[in-house]
Amino acid sequence: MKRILVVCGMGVATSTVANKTITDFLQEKGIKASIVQAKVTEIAGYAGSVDLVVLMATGATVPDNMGAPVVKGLSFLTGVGKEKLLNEIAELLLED
Amino acid sequence: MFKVVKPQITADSSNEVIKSLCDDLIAFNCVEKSYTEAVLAREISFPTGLDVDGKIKVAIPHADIEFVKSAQIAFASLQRPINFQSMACDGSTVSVSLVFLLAVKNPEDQVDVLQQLMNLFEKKDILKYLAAETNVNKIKEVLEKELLHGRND
Repeated sequence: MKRILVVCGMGVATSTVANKTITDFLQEKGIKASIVQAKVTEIAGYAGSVDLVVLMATGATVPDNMGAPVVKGLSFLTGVGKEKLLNEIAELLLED
Repeated sequence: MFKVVKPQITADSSNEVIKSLCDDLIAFNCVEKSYTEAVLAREISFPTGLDVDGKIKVAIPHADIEFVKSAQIAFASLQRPINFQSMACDGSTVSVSLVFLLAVKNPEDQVDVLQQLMNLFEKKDILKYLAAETNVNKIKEVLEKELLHGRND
């Protein structure tokens, strides 16, 4: 199963919202994936072990050896461009 | 959930609004005294101004759960919009009219209310109402309806 890493500054509020939004969307689409939430300071520990990174803390830097595409998740909070981002995430997950 | 509601406040900086809301949360014994510093520090490294669609912009300052005693969303509307750094972290600022200072205790328990809050940010007419309303109880009613589906807890 594909693994999504959702990263925010504290691992408290914004990644929780993104997690829920993505989970609901994937369920609706019938796409199976697991989601883990992490703080910015924990990103490096997931290098090489996730398939997609959703960055809520937009200013955070992702290590070069992450080995996964990175999308910015701000749309989940502002609502602007949310559908587009969800579809982009679905496409990235369905790619092999 | 909405013990602190401060309509139409005037402030000169985002720090001033954050301090004012945190002071009230501390007075209600909802957060530790250190919450203020934690929120201010977080705002510098991970700012929370949100450039939502429409004229009324919002900010959601918050800090780690370790400082929170009971979950709250403290609300302030600003007489004059104040610049917050954008969460986009691109150096841009957002001219914010509504501040929702989050005190999250258990993210999993509060996922619904957080989700509803983000949904609220898409409802321009309600944001407009919240920015103009002066009556604390009316604001609380709207927040309860929108974020708790009318439940009062």
